[in-house]
Amino acid sequence: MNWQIFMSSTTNVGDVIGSITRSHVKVIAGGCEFSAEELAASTESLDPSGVGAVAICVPDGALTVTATLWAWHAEVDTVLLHAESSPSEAQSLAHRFGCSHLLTGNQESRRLRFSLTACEREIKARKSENQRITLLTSGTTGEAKPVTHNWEDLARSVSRRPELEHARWMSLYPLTRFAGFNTLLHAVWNRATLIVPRAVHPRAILQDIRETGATHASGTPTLWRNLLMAVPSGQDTLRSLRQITLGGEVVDQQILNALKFAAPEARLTHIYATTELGVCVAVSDGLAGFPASWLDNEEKRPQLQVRGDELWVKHLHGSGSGADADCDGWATAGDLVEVKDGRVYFKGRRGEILNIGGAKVLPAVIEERIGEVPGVVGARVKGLRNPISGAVVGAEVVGRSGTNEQTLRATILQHCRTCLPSYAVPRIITFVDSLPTSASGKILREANKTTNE
Amino acid sequence: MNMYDAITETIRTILTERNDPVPDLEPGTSIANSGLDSLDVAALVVRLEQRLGIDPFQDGALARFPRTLGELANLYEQHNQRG
Repeated sequence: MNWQIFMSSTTNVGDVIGSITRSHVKVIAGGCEFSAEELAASTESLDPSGVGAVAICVPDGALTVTATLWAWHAEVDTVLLHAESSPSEAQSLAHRFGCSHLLTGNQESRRLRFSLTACEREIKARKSENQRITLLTSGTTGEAKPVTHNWEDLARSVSRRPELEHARWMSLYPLTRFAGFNTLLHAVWNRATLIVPRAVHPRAILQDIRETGATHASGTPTLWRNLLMAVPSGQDTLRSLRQITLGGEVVDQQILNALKFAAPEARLTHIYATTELGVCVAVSDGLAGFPASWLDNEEKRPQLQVRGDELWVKHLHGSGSGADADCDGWATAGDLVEVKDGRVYFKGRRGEILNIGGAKVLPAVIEERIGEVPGVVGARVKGLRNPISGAVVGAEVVGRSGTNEQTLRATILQHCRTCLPSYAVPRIITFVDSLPTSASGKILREANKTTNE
Repeated sequence: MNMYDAITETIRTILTERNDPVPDLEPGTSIANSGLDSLDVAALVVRLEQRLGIDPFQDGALARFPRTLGELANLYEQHNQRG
């Protein structure tokens, strides 16, 4: 009955491939370079007719870009699943999010292969007016939550400038995470080059930066610290970078200074963004935190406000549908801030607060102090549980190679005792070779059971 | 190693790590005079648990909190013997 309408509303295979080809994006992944034509060719066998909504689950890299472009040009709603989902997880997530099809794929050297399978549910080929894409939160605070974005809003959020066509964008986040996906969008909409590191390992990333001459790169402070540690002494591997973006964790002055030194020609931008709220704050003046004049400023987009010790954000458009906004449209992700000397500094998340014998302290505050000590490359602070004080502060420290641990430990303790309250001074310091990170490159924090609010 | 030695050695480590003077440590020395503050005592318990694998405070049913190093050592000995 509605067959005719159904058919006519369906994009055909040729349209999709043509559109991908016209995007002119290039992808360098695993050392191989792919043109837009090659990416498009790999989707020749995919027929978009009858696809209502598609869940994509492919290994990170050229496959992610191709699959996302295909779904976008086929005008179907999309759910981008994390690459590490198992086949059965992908099936059940596709089902949970109401997808008619699951798109999987694999890469054998230069060959990209896709497979589109129908889910066991009624096919609803539905063209919503606002084509949507759903990403999953990183799930550091529990089960991964879906957050849906309109393509139109996303398109508005990406800056497009003709000179960016020559940009070579590297994402140090998986492309399925909001921050990585954002990098993908910048490369695609500027017809630029997207670089996906062959492995999420500092030495592999540095090799890719060197070989590809990456100009733009985006990662967490922890990842940048690890990269700086791995740069062989006397080499200027990061010199090709013109734009360095940091996000996902508290950005302190130490890491900004270190990056300025290692990549003098790069503009440094640190952003505060969450999957739910999108990009809220972007700062490029080389200083930690952001100007307090941005608070309660009606001109600012999005609007920002400090309530108690939390940052609240208000978007004018309905973007960030995953956030629980109050009736005036204000929402918070639970990030704690401190206003000091005309600047607003991020301190960490409410869930990270340690309760040390009744006194509350945030790990990032202590980590920043430890990081000020010469010879310290990185630190992770955690609460060591015990029945006497609830928790005491423990610190795992990565020292510069060749440092005397005993001396460094004494220096750290001495420094912390001068600038931190007694309860916040680490009571146990251990030295480690590297700090454990999540897939997005954030420091892993254990679920905090000692906090009694 | 007996518990008393493990305890005094760990206290010495805590104090020397941060260049604090180490007082004379005797079985009769009160914990309050051992150079440790209350959070150091908590850290001592964590370190002993990491080192010996036992934590007598975990039970939460202590009749009386030990006051001297000797009493603290006794508590660990008793807990250790009970397994």
